[in-house]
Amino acid sequence: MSPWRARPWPAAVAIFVGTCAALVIALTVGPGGVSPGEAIDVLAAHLGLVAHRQPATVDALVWELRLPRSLLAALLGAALGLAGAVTQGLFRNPMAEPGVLGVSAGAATLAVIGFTLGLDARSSLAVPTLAAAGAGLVLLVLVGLTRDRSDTTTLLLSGIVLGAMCGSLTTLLLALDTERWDLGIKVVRWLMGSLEGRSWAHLRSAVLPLAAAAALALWLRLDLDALQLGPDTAASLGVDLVRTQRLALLAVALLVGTATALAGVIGFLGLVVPHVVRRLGGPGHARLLPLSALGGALALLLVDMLGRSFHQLVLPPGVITSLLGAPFFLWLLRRGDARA
Amino acid sequence: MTLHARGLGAHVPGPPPRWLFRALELRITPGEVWAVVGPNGSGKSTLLRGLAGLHEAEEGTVLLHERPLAELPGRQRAQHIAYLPQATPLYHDLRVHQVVMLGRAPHLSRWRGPDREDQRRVDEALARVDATELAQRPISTLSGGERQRAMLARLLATGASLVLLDEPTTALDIGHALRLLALCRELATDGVAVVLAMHELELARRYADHAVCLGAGPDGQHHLGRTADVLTPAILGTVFEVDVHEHPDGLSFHPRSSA
Repeated sequence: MSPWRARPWPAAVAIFVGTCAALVIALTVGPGGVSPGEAIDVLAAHLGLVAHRQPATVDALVWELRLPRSLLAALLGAALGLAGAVTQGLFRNPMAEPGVLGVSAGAATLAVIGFTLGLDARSSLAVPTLAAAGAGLVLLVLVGLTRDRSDTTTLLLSGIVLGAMCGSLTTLLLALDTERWDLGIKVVRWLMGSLEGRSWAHLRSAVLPLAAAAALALWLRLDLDALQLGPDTAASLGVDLVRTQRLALLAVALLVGTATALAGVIGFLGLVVPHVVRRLGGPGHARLLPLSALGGALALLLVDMLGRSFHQLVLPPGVITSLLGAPFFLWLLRRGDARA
Repeated sequence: MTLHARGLGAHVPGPPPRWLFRALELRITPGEVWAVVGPNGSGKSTLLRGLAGLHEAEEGTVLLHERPLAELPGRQRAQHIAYLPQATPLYHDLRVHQVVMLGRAPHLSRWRGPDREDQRRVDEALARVDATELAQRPISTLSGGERQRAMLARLLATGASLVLLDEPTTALDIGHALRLLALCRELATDGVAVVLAMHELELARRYADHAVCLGAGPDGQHHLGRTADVLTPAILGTVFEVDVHEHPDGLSFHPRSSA
């Protein structure tokens, strides 16, 4: 590899501006014919910057439907990008993905239980709550299995096995209820990831866990850097390996758990985004973590816009990230970026 | 800062357990250079890891300034003891100056980034190992010798009073090896205690004032003391199972005649 120069600040500014632009454009995508100018007008009116108001339908379309959905897409994208960066740092492998910890699979299993019991009809936050609990359960089992050891191989294999177990549980639940077609469709929709009908309430519920996880991840940035020199050197630099592993796991579980709870399973984003921004901003976690969050926000916004821009067909974000992410992953492998 | 190993013993799990060293009494004081020698698998790395507080030995304790190392918070320990493992794996491709800055990790606050003092220490460490021009290079692009210099700078940047190096010269050519050892002597003059695990017995005799020779018997026997008393033809011959001849300008080693 030739020596490269990392340009974190231009990269950060570019991604940030791109995200803001994408956010405005996202408000215009879909049926209803809202122009960027109208969208900005609606935002300005709600922020009290202008007095005149757009027609009620345009206002509702932008402010009640598309804005919370797009903000949520950006926020959850940031969560997944950040989770990916933390996972790759913890496992010291640029090919690691938050999904390998089984957290999203655990969230999915409990969410499906919620659907099976019909809890989704009672409250729109019932399934997300259950999914978050599933993510938390997997986290507890992982911490229990690794005890006081800081062995990433055990952790990785435990995560993969737990994920497989949760996956088969989900399938079993569906198999037991084959005659309920509506249930099957709901579950499959949810598993593919969806941002349909997400409201300000969903957005509000995401802010606290994500803020806590982001603060935790940033707090760990030096430890994650030190881990890149191997566990022995990290320990000799004063890094508490067991504590770092637990806190990093907690951060990833909060991020992925929240994202899965609110938007279903969205894969590959956490793998690809940190990989791309590492090329722009370098491998130091002080820059990698915020850049991954920014990049993730932009990526999921774009994915959501792409999913909504087909006539009469809404593509689930999870499907798009996998369809685009998997070939990208293979391309990275071929280029030899897997060098761990 | 004195590092004091009291009755230290470590074994490879059995059955029956094989003792690498046992009842080891070691007192390392500022300004000393220690060499740890012994055949492959004799426990040099285990001893170094024990002294660095990374591995708790099966028997005995290590005291830093008369406080048990195991009771010291990791950060505080890391401010006083710097350790360079035999090989440093490099995962994400950090740049040299980032790696050296990690040497400051035991001193950095979690929220505030590195300040001028940290930057100064890093520049100083890089200059001291003659690696200033490598600062912006990704670590994967360095040669073996350059890489070892970068790692050494990381060690120096910590400003620790005790430096443990596990076979730092093994992968180096003789020129790089001699410069590294000269630097270790220089550190000792500044009051740093240096412990080197090494295979080059001749260099150990020349650069260390004290030596530990492991592998002197099946139950963790070892020799320990002034280099001149430990790295003798008789002891080295027995421990390494070779014939050692002493010449006016050093030792020469020959395969042991089977007779």
